[in-house]
Parts: sequence; structure tokens; C-alpha cells
Amino acid sequence: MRIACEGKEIELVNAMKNGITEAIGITKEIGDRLLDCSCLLRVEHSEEVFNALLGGINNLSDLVDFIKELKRGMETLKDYSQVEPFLSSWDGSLKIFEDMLPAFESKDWITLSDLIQYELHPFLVEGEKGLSELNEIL
Amino acid sequence: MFFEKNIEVLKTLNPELAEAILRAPRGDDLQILTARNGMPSIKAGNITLHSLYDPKEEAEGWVGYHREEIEKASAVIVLGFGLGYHVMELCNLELCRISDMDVIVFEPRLDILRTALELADLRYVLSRVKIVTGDECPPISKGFTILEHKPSATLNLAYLERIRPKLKVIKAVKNGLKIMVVGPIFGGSLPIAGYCANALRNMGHDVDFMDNSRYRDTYFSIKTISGEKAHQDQLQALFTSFVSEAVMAHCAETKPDLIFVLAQAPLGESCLLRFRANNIPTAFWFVEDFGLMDYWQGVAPLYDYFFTIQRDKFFDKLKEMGLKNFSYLPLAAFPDVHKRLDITEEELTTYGSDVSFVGAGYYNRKNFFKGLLDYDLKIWGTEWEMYSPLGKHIQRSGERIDTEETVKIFNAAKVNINLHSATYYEGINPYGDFVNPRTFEIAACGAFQLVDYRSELPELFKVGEEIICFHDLNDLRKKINYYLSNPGEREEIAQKARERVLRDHTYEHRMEDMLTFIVERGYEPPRWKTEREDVEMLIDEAGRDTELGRYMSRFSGKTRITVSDITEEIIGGKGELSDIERIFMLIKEFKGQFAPMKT
Repeated sequence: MRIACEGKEIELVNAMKNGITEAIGITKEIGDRLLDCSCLLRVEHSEEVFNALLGGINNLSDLVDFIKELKRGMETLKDYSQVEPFLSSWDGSLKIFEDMLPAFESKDWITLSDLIQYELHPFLVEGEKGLSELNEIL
Repeated sequence: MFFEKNIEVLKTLNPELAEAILRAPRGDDLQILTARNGMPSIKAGNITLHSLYDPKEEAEGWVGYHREEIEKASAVIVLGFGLGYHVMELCNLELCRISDMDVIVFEPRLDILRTALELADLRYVLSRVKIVTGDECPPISKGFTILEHKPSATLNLAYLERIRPKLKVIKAVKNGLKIMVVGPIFGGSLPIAGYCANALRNMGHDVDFMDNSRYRDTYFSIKTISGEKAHQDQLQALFTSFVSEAVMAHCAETKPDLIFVLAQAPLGESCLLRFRANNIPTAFWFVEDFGLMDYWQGVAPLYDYFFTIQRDKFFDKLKEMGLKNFSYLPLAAFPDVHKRLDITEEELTTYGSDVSFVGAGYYNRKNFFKGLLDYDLKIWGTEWEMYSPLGKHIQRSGERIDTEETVKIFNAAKVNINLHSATYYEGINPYGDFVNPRTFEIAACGAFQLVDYRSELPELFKVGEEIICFHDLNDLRKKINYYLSNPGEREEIAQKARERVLRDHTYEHRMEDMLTFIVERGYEPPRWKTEREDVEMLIDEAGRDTELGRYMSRFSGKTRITVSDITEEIIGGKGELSDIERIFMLIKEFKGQFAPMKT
């Protein structure tokens, strides 16, 4: 299956494809880094680990912003209904962020690690897969 | 179900803890949860102590992360028990199963321990680890490592802030301190000072022995300068002042972590006050009879730690003076010197006899030994009267006998008499309490002795099995006769005494006890301004989890370290320099540029 587009849509789709290609690589990197952080956070509370965690969360936040933009762009496409399912897995991100925040604030590092390792990471793996598939059909 | 089984095991191993756990009320902040894999987890307030998805996998990760440290350590200290998943994984390591490596867990929350015992079968863990819930630190072997269960550490922040510095000091002590041992100019405590210095060296400490016997001739020459006591006293005071100043000068140069002083060492009050003013910890071992020598009253308050060979009434007096840091530390033997020897025929002729005594001719001994004149008796040592009934038994006209020959005599004699000195009694002091060094020394040689009964003896030896006591002259004579006719029994008892000394009564044991006591009583190494730094302290200051801390841990084996030691290691290494290594190289460069000019 390929999305049919014409005129200005082609330009938009190309721009989105470039963004998605970049995001695929970044998603994996962010996921792996956060997974490492979550493992370390269970055994080590050093400045380095917390810095890496903050860095990872900031990068993830940027990525989520990009996905939101991407979604907005996609919504302008005629065949949006066909691409929408590939991005739906990212919707869960907000819920996980919501759960992570109180854990972070109360220094409940085990809960935070659990959320990253068992919720966020699989979700990022799924999200990356969705992006790859989306890239193929665009 | 689990709780009953666990608590039964704990009752046999640590009844006090078991009782405390049984009495512990459940904390309001505790919430037991079930993890996604079905295992129990727990939250205390906002802090989750174990994964809510897979606590076992998390515990495996904890052990995996610390594996290298565990493998290098002789003992593992774990800060935080929680529900014990990580401790269980630690105990299941093959290394823990096959070795007798100590595992000590600090967990202040009795209610959490109770919950742990309710939720899982921890019988093996309880039999394998020692759990500490208070502020006390149990004896820990050298080379231990400290691992933290991070969520428990977050939960018990205040408790661990009290425990960590204690462990840090224990680690510094175990890794080796710089100890200055100050001995007397002469007297019975002089060899003891030497044994202590050597024992501390054997234990890995950096020892600086101030052997003041070098001043012996000068000290004794004072009496030849003037016959007037007032002048002699003045000269002796000046001389003590000189020796004190010499110790202080040396101390400023060598920068010890502890000054350990033996009885009769010539340190004056002003010197000790200066040590105190500079926060240099001092300890004193009063290896004398407090009833005979009363100078302890003047010196005891000047030391940070005071050790005695007597208790009971002496302790009462020290308490009355307001002293707190004092402890009983009996005498001992030094097996490098006091040992079994193969005695040649010639030596046996010289040193051997049925009955033998080595020591000074104190009043009670002179009287008591008159009752042994019909034996093949040899008396060795000074201060005996040649023109007395004992005269023909006194060897070498009462010359001083050195340690080497003393050991030969102990080994060669069939029965060594050990009569503690007494100034006011005809024979045995019926109130004698402390045990003299000779008791341990003869025993360490594997030689047989008959010793007058002392009230402290039963705590040190099994009387009748490891050592034989006499209570009066008749009793002694009976026992001499019996043991001269039963050499097999003599040897058996002597062997048991030797084993006991090697197990419990060497100077290394005493120095270990001394250091354990001072650590318990809040010892902290002084902060000398020095180029040499304690590696473990540096790692702790940098933080074990930091890049610098991890880098420094490669020097863990060294007691102290300088910047040059680090840069030499870097220069000898391979590959590209890390950021940390670059910084050290830079520090070295700075040091080189700004080092003071030699004049």
C-alpha cells in the first residue's frame, strides 16, 4: 500500500518522510539510553545517571513534540485514515509521562525505572516500528 | 506460614532481633503490593522498595552490577534489606555458598523486616547473614565492600548517614593506619611496646616505633650527676620534657593517625595536651598493677582511650574520675618470639631443669621459693640475693636474661613456675587479679607451667585443662611432683595452652581489640595536611558512583596515594587518555610549575 498524493502534498510528504527517517534512528537511541538509565537507577544514584535520565527525558519530549507535529501534518492528507493507525501507538506516551512525573517528584526511582523499562521502552519499540511502516507507505 | 518458620530460625541465631521483630508494630506507611509477575513488593510512604513488575529480575541485576566488587571482597556489607530479594540473590551466588564470606545487612526498619519474614521463606538468608538494626557495627574483616540497596538508602537517609561514617572509619582502620607506638625508656613494658609495634605491622599498619630505650644510659646517668634528690628530680623532669618534645617533633614529621603509648613512656602532660589540641588521637595501655603504680591518675584523663589489665575496682576508680573510653585489655604473647624450639643437648644442660623460674627477685618470690630448695631448681633473672638459701639455685649470679634465652629456658624446663610478683605478701597474693605476660609467653612456647591462681585466669584459659594453677606451697609441691612423674599429661596441657594462646591471646588479637574499641568509641583519623591521601577516603569523598570515584577505585589496594602515584600509573598505561586522566596529568603539570624551590 502506498499513499497517493499530488501537488503540494508531495512536498509535505517528502518533508514528513525526512523527519520520520531521522526520528526512527533517534527513537531507538532514546529508547536504549532510557532503558540503560532505568537499569542504573535501580542500583546507582549518581549525578551522571540523573543527568543521563534528564537528557533522555528531554530528548523524548522533543520526539513526542515531533510526533504531534507529524500527526498534524498527516491530518491534512486526503488518506489520513490509512496512516492514522501507524501513529496511534504514540498516544500512550502522554499517559506514561503522567505516571512518571509523581514518581520523579517523590524520588521513587524504582517506580520510575519500572515505568521506563516495562512501559515506555516497549512503547518506543512499537512506536519506532510504526514510524518505519509509515515511512514505507508514504 | 512463612513468618513462623523464619522467626524460629532467627530465634536460634539472633534471639534479640527475633524478639524485637515480634514486638515491632506495622508501620502506617507500609503498603504491600503484588508485582506483575505475582511476587510481593512493598512501598514505604512514596518509596517503592522493589520492582512492581519483576523484583527477582531486579535483584539479579543488582547482584550483577556489584559482582566485581563482591568477588574482590572478603565481606559484604549491605545497606538496606527491604523484602530481601537482593540479599537472597547475593546469598545464592556460588561465591557466597562455598565461602565463609561474611554478609552483614543494616536495616533499621523492624516493621519492614517483619513484613519480609511474613512474605517469603528466608530461612537460608537468615542463617547466612547477620542483620544489624541499630547503630552498632559488628566486627568486620579486612577488605569488606559496602553495597547499597538504593531505595532503602533513600528511605533511611538519616540512619545511613550515621552508619556510613562509622563504616568509613572501620575501612580506613582495616586498610591500615599510620600508628606511632611510643615505648618506655626501660622496664617491663619495653618489650611489650616492641611486640605491639610488630603485631600492628603484621596486621598491615604503617608503624613508627619510638623506641625510647635509646635514652636509657642518659637517663640512668642522671643519678651520677648529682647526689641531691631535688637536682635529680629537676634533671629527670627536663629529660622527660626533652623526650616528649622529640616525640612531638617526630610526630609532626610522620603525621600518625594514632599515637599508642605504653606504660612508663616518658610523655609529659603538655605534650599530651598538644596532641589533644591538634585532634591527634592517643591511646595508652597501662600494663601495670593500678594498686602499686598510681601515676595512672595523672595520665588517664590526658588520653583519648585508656586500656588496662585490671577491671572491677580499677574501673570503678576510672568511672569516678569521669573517664568513659577505657577498656580491659589483658596481656598476651608474641608467637614470632615466644615459640616452640628444638633444644639441643648442650642447651638442655645449660637451660634445662626439673623446676625453673625466670623473673626478678620480688619479696614474695624470695620467700616462697625457699620451699622448693630440694628440687632441681634453677632461678634466672635479676634482683636475687646470692648470699641466701636460694643462692646456689640462682643462675649466672643473677644476671639479666634476654628474651632469646628466656624462651630457651621456658622450652627446656620440665616445670616452669610462674609466681606473680607481690610486694606485701609472703607468697601468693590472694587478691591477685591480672595475668602477667609470662603466663602467655610460656604457653605460647608450648612449655608447661604451674601458675598461682589469678581471678582473671578462668576467662583466659580453661583452668585444669589448658593451664594448671596452684593455691599455696603445699599445693605447688604436690603438683610439681605429679607433673614431673607424668610427662605425657604435661605435654598435653602445654599443647592446649599453646593452641589457646595462638587462637586468642597474641598481641595481634590485643591490637585488633584495641582498634575495635577505639572505632566503637568514635575514633576518627586526624586530618593532617599531607600530600599522601587515604585512597578509600578519596573514593568516598568523590562518591563511589561517580566517574572519579570509579577511576580511583583501581588504586583501592593501596593504603595511601599521591598525585605522582596516579600519573605514573597513567603514563604506564595504554590507549587514549580519559578526561579524568587528562585532569590528573594537568594537576601534575601545575604541581611541577608551582612546586617550591629547593634551597
